[in-house]
Amino acid sequence: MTGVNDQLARDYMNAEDAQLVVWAVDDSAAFGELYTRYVRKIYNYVYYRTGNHQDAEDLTSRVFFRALGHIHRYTDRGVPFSAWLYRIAHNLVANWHRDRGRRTMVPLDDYLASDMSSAAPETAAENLEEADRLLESIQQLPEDRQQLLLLKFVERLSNAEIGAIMNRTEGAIKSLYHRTLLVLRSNLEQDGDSSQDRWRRLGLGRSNWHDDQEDQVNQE
Amino acid sequence: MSLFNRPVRELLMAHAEALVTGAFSRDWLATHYGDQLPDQVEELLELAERINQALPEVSPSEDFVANLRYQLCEADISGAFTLLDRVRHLPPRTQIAAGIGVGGVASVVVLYASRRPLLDFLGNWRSRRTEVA
Repeated sequence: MTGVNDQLARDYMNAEDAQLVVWAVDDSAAFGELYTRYVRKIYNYVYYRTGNHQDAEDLTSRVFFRALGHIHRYTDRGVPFSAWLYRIAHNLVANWHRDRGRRTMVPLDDYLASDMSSAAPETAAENLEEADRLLESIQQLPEDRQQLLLLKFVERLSNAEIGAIMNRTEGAIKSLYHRTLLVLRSNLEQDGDSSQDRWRRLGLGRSNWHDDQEDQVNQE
Repeated sequence: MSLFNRPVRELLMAHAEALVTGAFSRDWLATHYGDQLPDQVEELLELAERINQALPEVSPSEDFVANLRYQLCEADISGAFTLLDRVRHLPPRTQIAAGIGVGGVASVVVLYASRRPLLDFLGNWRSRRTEVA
């Protein structure tokens, strides 16, 4: 085990992830620093994949305990530690969905209430409904497309980081993003009888161009 | 630069980057892609902006963060790591030096252990050649 003198000499806060991973094999303070850096990011990712805080807390705990238990096996072969953590989270969430056999909706009122509080009640309710529909459509996307949207818009990662997590090139990430927007738009149009109204509420017009665009992307 | 000089996917991703970094504005769009974008592209950009608004960052409770940190730091995982696991996390130079050292020691031990049989074999072989001659 690492001695007290070794730990005192270590500058955890300024150390890079790779160095902390080496230390973390037998130094809990080093793992604690890694945990501090990533717990909120992993929690956000899991929250949007599960839809509630209770399961997000449970799965986030499992992610970090699994990382702690397997950190001696982690070696940086072009996959940063953060990407490794997201992969663990992705696998655990996938298992969670498989075990439950269904997908859960995100209860928007939990986290949008503060954003809507300043708006007029009618506007706030309408905004909430629109955001709810959009999230519902996002959750009906295939897993990889959901993952891409969450990593980009919630985690705010670069394309290179997303590529490392999803094991794809940056070009592939760009194409997937383009296709995801087209499919999402198409799903929103097709979902429900009042799709025209919904698009109008979302501020989007209707056109058939997405089929042509999808073909164009596939040709690329 | 005109939209037609760049694939749509480049524009969409640049727009997403600008959204998440807070750099996006209508001026940003006009500066980078001109004033006149096809309606269909505008619609996808608006959809991306809606997604960005619909996925705000959430925060775990501070109690949860603190408790989990405590549990992780208290967890006893020292027994989970084998000697091989520890060696794998040494710097490459140290691994090479350790490999050479261990290999050298092993060679000496093997040579020493096989010294008597080897000498016996050589002795027998030499005496057999002498008999033949």
